[in-house]
Amino acid sequence: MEWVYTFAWLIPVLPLAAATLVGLGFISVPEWTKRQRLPVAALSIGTLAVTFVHSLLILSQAVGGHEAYTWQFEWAAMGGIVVPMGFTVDNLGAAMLTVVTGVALLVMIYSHGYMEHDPGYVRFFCYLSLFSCSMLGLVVSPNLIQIYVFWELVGMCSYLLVGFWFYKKAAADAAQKAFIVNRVGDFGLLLGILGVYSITRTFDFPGLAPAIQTAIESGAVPLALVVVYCLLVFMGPMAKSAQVPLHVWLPDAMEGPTPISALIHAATMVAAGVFLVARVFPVFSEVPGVLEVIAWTGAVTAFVGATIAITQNDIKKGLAYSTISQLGYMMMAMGVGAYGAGLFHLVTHACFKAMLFLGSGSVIHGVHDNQDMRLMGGLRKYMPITSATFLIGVLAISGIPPFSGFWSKDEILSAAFDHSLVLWGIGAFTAAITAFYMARMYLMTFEGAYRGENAAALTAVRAWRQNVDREGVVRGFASLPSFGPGAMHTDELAAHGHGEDHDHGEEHGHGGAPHESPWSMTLPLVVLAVPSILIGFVGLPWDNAFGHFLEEGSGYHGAEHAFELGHFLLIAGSSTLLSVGGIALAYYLYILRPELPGQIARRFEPVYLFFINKWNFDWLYEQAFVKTSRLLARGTLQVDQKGVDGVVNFSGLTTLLAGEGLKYFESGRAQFYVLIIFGSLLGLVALLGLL
Amino acid sequence: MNIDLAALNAGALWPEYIVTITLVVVLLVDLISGRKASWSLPYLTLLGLGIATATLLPMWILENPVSFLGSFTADPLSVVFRAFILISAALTVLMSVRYINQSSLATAEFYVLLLGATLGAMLLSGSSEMAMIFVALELLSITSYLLSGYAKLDKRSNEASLKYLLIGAASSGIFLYGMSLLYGFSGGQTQLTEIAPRIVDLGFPALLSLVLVVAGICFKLSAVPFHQWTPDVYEGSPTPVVAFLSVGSKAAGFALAIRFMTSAYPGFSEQWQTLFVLLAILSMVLGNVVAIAQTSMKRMLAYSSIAQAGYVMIGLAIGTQEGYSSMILYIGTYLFMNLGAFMAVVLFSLRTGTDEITAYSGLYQKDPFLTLVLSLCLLSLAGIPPLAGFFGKLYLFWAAVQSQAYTLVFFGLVTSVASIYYYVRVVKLMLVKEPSPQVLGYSEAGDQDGIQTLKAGMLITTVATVVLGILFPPLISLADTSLRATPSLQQVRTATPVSRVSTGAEAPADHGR
Repeated sequence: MEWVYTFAWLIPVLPLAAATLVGLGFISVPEWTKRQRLPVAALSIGTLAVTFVHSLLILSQAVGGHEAYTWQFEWAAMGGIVVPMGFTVDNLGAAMLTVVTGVALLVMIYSHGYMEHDPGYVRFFCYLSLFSCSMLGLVVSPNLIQIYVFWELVGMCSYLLVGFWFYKKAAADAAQKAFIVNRVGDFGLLLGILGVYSITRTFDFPGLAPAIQTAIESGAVPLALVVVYCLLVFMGPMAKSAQVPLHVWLPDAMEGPTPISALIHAATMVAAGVFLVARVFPVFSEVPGVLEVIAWTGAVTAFVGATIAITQNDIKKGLAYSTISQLGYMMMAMGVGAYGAGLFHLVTHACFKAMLFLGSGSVIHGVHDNQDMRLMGGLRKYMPITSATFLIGVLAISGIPPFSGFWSKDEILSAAFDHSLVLWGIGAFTAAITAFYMARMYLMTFEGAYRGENAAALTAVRAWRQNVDREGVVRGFASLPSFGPGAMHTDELAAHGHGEDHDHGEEHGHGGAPHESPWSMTLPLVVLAVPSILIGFVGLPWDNAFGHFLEEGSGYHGAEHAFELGHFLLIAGSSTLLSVGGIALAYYLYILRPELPGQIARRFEPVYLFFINKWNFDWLYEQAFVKTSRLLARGTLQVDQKGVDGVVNFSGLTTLLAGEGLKYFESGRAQFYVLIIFGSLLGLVALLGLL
Repeated sequence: MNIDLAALNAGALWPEYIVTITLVVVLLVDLISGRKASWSLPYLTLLGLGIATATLLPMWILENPVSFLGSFTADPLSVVFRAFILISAALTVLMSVRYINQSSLATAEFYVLLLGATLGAMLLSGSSEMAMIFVALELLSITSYLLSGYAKLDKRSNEASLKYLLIGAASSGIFLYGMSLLYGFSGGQTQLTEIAPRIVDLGFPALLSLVLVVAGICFKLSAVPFHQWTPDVYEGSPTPVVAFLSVGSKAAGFALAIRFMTSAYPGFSEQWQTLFVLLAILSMVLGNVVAIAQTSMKRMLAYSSIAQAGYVMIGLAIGTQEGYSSMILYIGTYLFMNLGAFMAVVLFSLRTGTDEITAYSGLYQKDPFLTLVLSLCLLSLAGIPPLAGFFGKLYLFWAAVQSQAYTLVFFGLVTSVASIYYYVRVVKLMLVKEPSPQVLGYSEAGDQDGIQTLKAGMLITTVATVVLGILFPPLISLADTSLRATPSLQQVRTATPVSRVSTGAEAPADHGR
């Protein structure tokens, strides 16, 4: 079975082939290609299915103890710098490949149902294949340069897919925001890669850590410089994995189609940051202070994300902030040295968050493109499969045993507890909030009565627009809805208005009762529910198969502890208690006393406004970066128009005038010409004589 | 006097012999067969030029380049320039066929004169002895005067010829005076390399001769301020003649300049480099600025050729090996793009009878091929990437930057920008504007024999203009080899103050880039 490794390059290449084929079709015969819906879907899903099987084979080999496999060739060499390209498959890669291909495959099947009536169906599958290729290429990259290339490619695919409905202003803006915020991180990443290269003289992952270690020990490079380079590298994951303060793009990215939110903005691409940190983890662990920064960034992100999520009324935005919060957990795990725990959470999160997003898509589909939870409710009756899988996801993310999220989150909290009590405190508190807002989300969506046609609810939601100013900042409580705090972002309401623009769902007939989604959408939900429940058992605290699997592959042994039952019961027990408490509170507030949340929000208005305005990050960036750069641009334009253009016009005019003037020296009289020759001769002789 | 014939090394001049033989054959065929055979004369000429080129190329690196007792040096430098001259002569023949037929002038004399000019220019490229230089120069000059007055029924052609003759005579006088001074100062030496050591300590008198010689050469290069004949002569002369003068004659002038300066004045390299810096700047500025104000295509190309000579002089003025090799390359690319532009002008004037720039407007609608050729050649002259002219300029400026000649680079860049204006203006006229009356009456119906050869020439020059840019790295190494194998240049490198090597023998090895 050696061939599964030697042919691992096929994994990114196959989806690329599919994307290229469809892309070429688009270029040469666009009209015809647009009609080839089924063949294109079959091609994309088929190639991805093959890569999924391939990844499973690799995973089974890797579990069987196969060594890591790397193949590289010299791609470019200039001036002593050699840039290799190739692929590498180790245990970490094998696990990631399986997760990515698996989720991508299910999302593609789901998309067949979700995008069925969208005119951009074929384009969507083309982009999806391209994204799969980029993401898989990123996973198998053996060096920093190649990973950077694919890093940019996934960023580009994200841009294309967030802006898939580019005719919606909100989607176009969100795509740009995602791209630009990621550029900030990529800028740091590239600088960091080059900086690290200046020390290590290699881009290969295995060679980085020893070289850094030697450099630090020999004192050849100042330690501060190494720290700066490492933090620059970390800027990349910070933007890609939506860590504070570069997290602002992810919620807006929900303007993309829901399958994209599930695949790119929950399960795979945003996890690339965590993956990169895992790849360079040996380097980071050599350099003091870097892991600390990562841990605190993760903890802050987890907390900020969770607090904002409480106040969201848009189901996808809520999930987006939940994703930010969970990514924060993963980063925190990396930071406290629990390499295996972070990746374990990555895997479990990929399963249940993809399922949650796909579930939210199913809900949105079922209630005719409404995303506002205040206008949902009682959907369990109409959508039994969706609600059941959603509930599984909620329990998993809340960390209720024995669902998968419990095991991974417990492992992180346990590692954090050993590292720093404060970090553990933040993590545990965030876990409670997580349970609360996820339960709130479930209860508002699936329990109680359906409010989609409730006039009072509609009026209340509309009234909310009064509270939101033009820049999307919530100003206060002009009028309060009777059920729960929360404000509609103007864009969100606008998005509803535009719901009809993207044609999907139109044929279902608007209004009327909510309905369950077709099988192609519910099947992936059911499939994903299985690992969401069970996958936790590969990482039991007393028998951590997943952790061992990674450590065998990487040769890196993280902080490992002998299993202590007391320790486990303390951490797991407390976090479970907190989670149950959170869920119970949500039940109390949203089912038993639905009038209470509003009163609480009014009572703590400043806090509430702070949370719902997303900690004012967007406002701050608007003031600090957007407005100043606009000002700068305007100033530069002035200089350009008045100064530079003036100089250009003036010199042009001078040249023209000089030309017109000088041409009269061409008198046409030969004796005059000879006179000039002799005159110049004298001049030149005099010049040389004087010199 | 006893001369050992083997010591003459007469075989080095085979290309010249072949050109001479062709000249005689053309004369004889015309004499014997008269009008009947006149159609064959251009092809005979082409054949001769082709054979000459074929014999020239194997002479790339000769064991012993010195022939006729030092009168002629067939070193690789001369081979490169002789090849340029042969190619430009051949392309000139291609564009002349139809032109000569149409103007109902005697055919044979034209080709004989053209071959004579070619012969003179080729000999000039290799001459290394003053008497030989002067004879070759006069052969080139006198045939050029005759060629420019070839359209004898045209008053403007007569005027051009006369002006050219008068000013050329004055310049020859100046040049001859400079050489006579050298002859005297060196105690009766005529070999350039023999003169050098004898005038090194001379100071001002030697500088006086230097200025006179440079002035004489610059007449051929039409460098400012010795340029004023150029627009008048170019405007009046038959266009194929102008094409040859602007390329073949100039190439010979540059070959002469390189050889004369590096062989006879290695001890005054600072002074002659200063002179050429000044002349280059003046030529670039004046040529480009006045070209903007021109209304006649031929006059515009005349000023353009003055400016282009200024760019080439950058390579001469910095006096490094990179300078010479980029200079050679630039002449090589200039040859194709300038001849291509002139071919387009010939074709246009054959069909419309005018050279006015405004007459070209809207040409795209009537003749896309002509528009394409002219546009590509003009854009290449302007130095727009990825055409050959861009790379040529790039290497020139890069060589100048490497030897810290920032003033030259500054003027080169600024005037290039100005030049884009007048080159692109023509392109814009042809592509964007409404057709002019001349273009509206444009017809290909009157086309007869000879147009095909012209079109073939246009195709060759255009393809070369486009492709040469891509082929630059091999061409660079070609130019480098030719320079390394040229002893006189190696000597100069050792004598140059900025030289980084101590002995001539080490120079090539040191220069491996």
